[in-house]
Amino acid sequence: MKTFKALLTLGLLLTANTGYCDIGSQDKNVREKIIGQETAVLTDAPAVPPPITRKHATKVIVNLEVKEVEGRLADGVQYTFWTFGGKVPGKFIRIREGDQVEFHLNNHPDNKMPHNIDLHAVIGPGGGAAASLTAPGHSSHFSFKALNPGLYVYHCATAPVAMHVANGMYGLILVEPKEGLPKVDHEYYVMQGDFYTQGKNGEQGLQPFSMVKAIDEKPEYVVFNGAAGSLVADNALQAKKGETIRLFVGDGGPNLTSSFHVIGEIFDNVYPEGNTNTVTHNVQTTFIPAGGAAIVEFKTHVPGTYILVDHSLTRAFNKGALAQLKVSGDEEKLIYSGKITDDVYLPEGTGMRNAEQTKVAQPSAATKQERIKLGEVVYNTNCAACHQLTGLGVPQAFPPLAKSDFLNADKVRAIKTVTGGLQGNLTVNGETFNGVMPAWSLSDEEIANVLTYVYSNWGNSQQEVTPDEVRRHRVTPGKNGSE
Amino acid sequence: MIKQAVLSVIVSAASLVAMGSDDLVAIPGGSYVPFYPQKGTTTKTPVPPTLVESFLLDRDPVTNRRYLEFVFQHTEWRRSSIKRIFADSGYLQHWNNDLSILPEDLDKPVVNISWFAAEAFCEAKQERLPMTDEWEYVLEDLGRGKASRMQQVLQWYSIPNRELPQAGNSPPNGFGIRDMVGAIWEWTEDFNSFMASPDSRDSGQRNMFCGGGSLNASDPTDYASFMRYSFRSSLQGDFTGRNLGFRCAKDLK
Repeated sequence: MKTFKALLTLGLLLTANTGYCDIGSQDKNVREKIIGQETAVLTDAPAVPPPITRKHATKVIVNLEVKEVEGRLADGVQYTFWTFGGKVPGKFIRIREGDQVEFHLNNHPDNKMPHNIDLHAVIGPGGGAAASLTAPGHSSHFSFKALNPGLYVYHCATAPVAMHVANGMYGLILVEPKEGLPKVDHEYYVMQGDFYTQGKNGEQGLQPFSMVKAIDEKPEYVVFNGAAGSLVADNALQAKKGETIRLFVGDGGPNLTSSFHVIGEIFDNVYPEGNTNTVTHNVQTTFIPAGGAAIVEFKTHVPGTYILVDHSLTRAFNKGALAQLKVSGDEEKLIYSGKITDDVYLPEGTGMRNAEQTKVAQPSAATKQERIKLGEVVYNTNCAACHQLTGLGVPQAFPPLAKSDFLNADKVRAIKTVTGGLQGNLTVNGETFNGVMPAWSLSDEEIANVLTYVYSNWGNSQQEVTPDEVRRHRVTPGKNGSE
Repeated sequence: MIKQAVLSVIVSAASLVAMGSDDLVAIPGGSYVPFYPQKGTTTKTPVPPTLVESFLLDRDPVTNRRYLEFVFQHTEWRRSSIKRIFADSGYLQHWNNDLSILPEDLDKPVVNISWFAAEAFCEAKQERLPMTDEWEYVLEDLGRGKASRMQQVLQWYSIPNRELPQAGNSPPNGFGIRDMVGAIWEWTEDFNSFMASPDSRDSGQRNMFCGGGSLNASDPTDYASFMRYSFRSSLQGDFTGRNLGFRCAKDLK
């Protein structure tokens, strides 16, 4: 008992001594004088409004329009997005610590739903949600003072909030610290979100929202900036060797958290959870909660393509959470040599990929239709992870099987590729790939079925491949001479 | 009499068979579990059932044709003469002018109607707007076809405003009522009495936003109902909308 009392006293003393840790600026920001007025520059991702150079607080007018629009979620897949400004994610808003914001939320008359906005940068009940609930064809306005610097998520909070957010109603607002952020060469805006469609991943056409999948937290798509492939190829983020890059990364959710990683880079600086006061260094993967954000910075050293992913990897490879950063410039062999040699290494009994067995006793197909049906199972189990359920592959990583000139030109070569594997440079539909296809330990029947399935789909040549053909053209793994 | 003749010219020029009916259908009373309890009635979970007495309800939403007849006689509700406090500037904006509308729109549900205007229409017929409980009771349809109805509603929500269908387009539900979902939003008499007003969330647990919104709901997985209640809570009596219409009800005596 005595010890307990003593501890208690000690505890009280400690509490009295430490008190509330005030980060110092909030009260000053409340009092900071507002000078002048301006209208906020808003940008669509991946663009970011220019840094704020003024040295005083001002009144900032923000006009944000809510639009319900049909758009592309993936190739051939359309979705009705609910947006802040016409795109997912919503417009990037950039203000300065201490600013007084006059916020106008305009709900387009063609919209069907009421909407509102909860900005995590707002201190006040609901973050503005109740004050901004707006029927279609109406406009609400409210005002707030930006007390805390940092990078914040905003989102719609009208019930059912999960559906509004799942349809794309989120974006980022940066409350820039008074002293500003260090100068960099490029700033980009990237935001992850999960989408719940009635149809499975890749199922074509306009896909309605699935309430069941949303409640089960089983998205069909996890994407950056509102669509699979929104930041690849011509739309990839760009930089030159030696430049510094700052990414404002948010996670709109509604459900999944992101393990944000850039393949081949190390973040020199991370402002975890979007706070601008504490910087950590040398980070590989940073955690971004749903409804949270982070600022990451790095300097590019080696030219090439860098892939932004959610390192929960099936999201990246199967559900769309991939983006690209292309760095141009001369090679930098000292930092990264590239491949120096590539010799064959095939110990006895290895080099074979033991395929997952779909059934113990293999059924054999009597008709081409049966072959296609059985082949689909083989495909989904063994091939779809790389070549995707859509057969579209992954740009720069896995070649497409859809409308594939490589496949359609030569059936025997296809058999040799599956049985013997393939590595090195390969051109498919004009795009060059440099990867490894393992040799597959599948039966003649299974290979015949899966190839027939592939040939019968996605605009391919409709050829049938028989088990006998597979048996005749089968090659030993690793001995598949390139043709 | 002359007015009547002019009206019939307008209508017959359309040479369309009126699809939306002006029949009132008798709805036998019963009980249902409201999605949200009415303000100040209960704080119990689960939400207890509410009793709905027998009443009459329009089989279909009110059409442009019926509303045209109304403003013909009640000049103060014409587009050019309505008082601004009773309807915002969107009132009947899809009409060409006070008394003219595209023939193909005649038998579509009338939209761009304020609560005050809807109320006046029903009153002129010695009727009234349905209470939210009555409307929801009819939608709930004694539990018939719940799952497919929810999906139908979500599907409708997921498509931005398009051309409206003709009134009476959908198959009748178990009560013989058509178009409860899939065509338009509908005004109810007490549209704003089920939750905190849109401007204030400080009335405690009964607000409609974020997580808080689901605490008091009878079925938090019913997204379709959340939508309906949050739509109603975003409205004020003078608001109009491109797919906001109404139907009338009447006490059964």
